[in-house]
Amino acid sequence: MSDIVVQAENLTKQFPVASKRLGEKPRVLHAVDGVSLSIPKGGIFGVVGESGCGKSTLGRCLLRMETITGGSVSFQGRDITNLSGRSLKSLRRDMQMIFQNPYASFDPKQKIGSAFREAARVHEMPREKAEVRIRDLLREVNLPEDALNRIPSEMSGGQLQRLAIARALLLDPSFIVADEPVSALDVSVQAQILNLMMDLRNKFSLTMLFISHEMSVVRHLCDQVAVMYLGMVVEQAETEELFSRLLHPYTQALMSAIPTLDPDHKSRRIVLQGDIPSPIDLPAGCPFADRCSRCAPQCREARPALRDRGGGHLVACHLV
Amino acid sequence: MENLLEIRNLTVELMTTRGIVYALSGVDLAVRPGEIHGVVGESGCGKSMTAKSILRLHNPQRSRMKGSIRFEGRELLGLPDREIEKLRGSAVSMIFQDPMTSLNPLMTIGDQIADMYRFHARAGKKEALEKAQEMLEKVGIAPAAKRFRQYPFELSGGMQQRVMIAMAIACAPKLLIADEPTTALDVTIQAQILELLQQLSADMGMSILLITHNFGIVAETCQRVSVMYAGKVVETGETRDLLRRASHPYSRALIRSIPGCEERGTRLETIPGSPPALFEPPESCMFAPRCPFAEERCRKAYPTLFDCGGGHLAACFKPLGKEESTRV
Ligand SMILES: Nc1ncnc2c1ncn2[C@@H]1O[C@H](COP(=O)(O)OP(=O)(O)OP(=O)(O)O)[C@@H](O)[C@H]1O
Ligand SMILES: Nc1ncnc2c1ncn2[C@@H]1O[C@H](COP(=O)(O)OP(=O)(O)O)[C@@H](O)[C@H]1O
Ligand code: SF4
Ligand code: SF4
Ligand SMILES: [Mg+2]
Ligand SMILES: [Mg+2]
Repeated sequence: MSDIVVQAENLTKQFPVASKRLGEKPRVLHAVDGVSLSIPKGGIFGVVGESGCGKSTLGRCLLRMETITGGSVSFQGRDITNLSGRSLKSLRRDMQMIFQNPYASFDPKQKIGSAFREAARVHEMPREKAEVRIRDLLREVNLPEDALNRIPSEMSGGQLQRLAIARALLLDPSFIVADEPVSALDVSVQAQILNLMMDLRNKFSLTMLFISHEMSVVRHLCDQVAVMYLGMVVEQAETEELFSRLLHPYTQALMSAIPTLDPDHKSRRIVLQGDIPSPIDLPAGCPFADRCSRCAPQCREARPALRDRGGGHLVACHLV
Repeated sequence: MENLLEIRNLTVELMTTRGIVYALSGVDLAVRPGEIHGVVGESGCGKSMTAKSILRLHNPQRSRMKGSIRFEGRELLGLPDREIEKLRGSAVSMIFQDPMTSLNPLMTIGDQIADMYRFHARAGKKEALEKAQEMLEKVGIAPAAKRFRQYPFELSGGMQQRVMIAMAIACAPKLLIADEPTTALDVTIQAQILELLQQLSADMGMSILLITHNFGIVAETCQRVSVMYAGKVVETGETRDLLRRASHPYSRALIRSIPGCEERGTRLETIPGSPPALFEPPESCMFAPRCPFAEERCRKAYPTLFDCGGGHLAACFKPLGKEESTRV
């Protein structure tokens, strides 16, 4: 299909782990373990899951900011799994990333304007063109031009995050990975940023991978959602479909753990015992087995495959 | 009912290099015995400052405090520092967002709890060690005998927060101040910690002042709640009542900006502008520049508390009626 912008097939990323003892066999950390996805032009693909489940690593692999251990990534129909050097650099203008903490994405001593101009210069954008583009973008994210003369500490978190978004758009990228872009913001500011992202998507058909640990945010913004646990996708579907039928026991527990304004919600809560296990030395069976209330003997023997339960709703569980 | 903690018209002015910051400008807050009382508001509104003022944990040399803080009927504001120190960790204790800032990385968790207990309860070594083990069990750290000898870095964030809670409740305080205790944790772990706090509050009859920016947490754990804006409590009441009919325009707007209730992909409600810088003492409604209902008098005087009934108070000249209030 031609309108697929980003595609991953069985994508795997492992990090080596320092051995504890001499002569011990080397161990690996499975950060991303066999993830497949495809995002059409203008689509916002949500990735949710708890800390350490591999969301950011997945995003970085799609942008080829990491080397790939296994599987493949393609961008606009071209295989980019093994790109390096100059061809990788030219890819950078087409793919951008937005981070959680806007203060960390700007140099605290540099004026906002020169940060923008520097980004334009790195990618050899002509100067006049850059000036026009920067001013257009400021209007787009609803900030006065005067912002260019300020340093980051003179902006609020929400304003700076809007500037980070504007800077990411500078080179007119076709794909953006937004890694928890609203997690550090207050809800009223978060609402502004989410509105902005919806506007930009509608206007420029931006294609996005939107990483979050907040179900409600992903539900509001994304067309498709993947739920990750220990590097694996355990459930994936179109947003409406997923939230109308949560099938995987982990997704159900995750959803029920979120505090809501509904006073009766809590009585339906599934409280998971224990911590998220380590992604090193994964068990043979289902990664969720240790915390799953429905765990059966077969769950410990074989890893459940991600299978379609109708309408493209994928679930990895032996009992669903 | 007699209040356990009663804060009246508390102001805190901080001397900074950029001038005086009016961090708190007349906070009123009452915590009843045994209740979990939520404090919500956006960052910078003064939640942590209110909490720190109770135990004098902010830098007192560079600040000026006025008003009244009564704990069990006793005025704390004029007390000498050593009296406050006696209170800290015994009758009133506090836990924070990041447990690692309060834990000693070089000491086993068992020794830390025991040391703290020996200091406050003037207990012997053996008794303190037994107490530490008992506390670890109480907060769900099992097996306590083994965990006892572990160092903080060997524990997950959720476990570290449990250790902090064990330390905070060892002397059976009447009031636990919890400043964003689950903000750094994953939701499934957050659910465990909130459950633990509720269970401890019920078992020990302990009040909790639970500071959070998450209305969902308030809805599920707090009997009553106070909403803060720009250094003041602007609305207070029973949680259910306040969520059902938020009367202050700010509380209402805050609740409405939470995603999840509207149809997917529709625009979320936002609050125009941003909270004021606190460089001037407030002489009018601090929310007026952002309030869709503001009128002349709002810019001239600070609104007094309006009684919406049933202990539900809102600091607004024109509190919202039931029909135009929140969804739910
Ligand atoms: N450069 C690296 N070297 C070694 N391990 C890494 C590296 N980057 C990530 N990891 C590990 O890979 C796993 C997945 O990490 P990742 O940052 O993708 O998680 P995440 O889902 O984004 O979590 P969070 O919600 O905390 O941001 C974690 O166990 C992490 O510790
Ligand atoms: N050490 C300090 N120096 C100067 N201003 C401070 C200091 N601590 C807090 N403030 C200011 O006091 C106000 C209240 O802060 P705080 O209680 O930490 O807010 P919250 O916990 O609600 O996010 C804010 O405007 C903050 O910037
Ligand atoms: S495969 Fe078994 S352990 Fe895994 S989620 Fe399904 S029921 Fe639970
Ligand atoms: S007093 Fe006036 S400006 Fe302030 S919240 Fe009420 S209506 Fe709005
Ligand atoms: Mg991450
Ligand atoms: Mg705070």
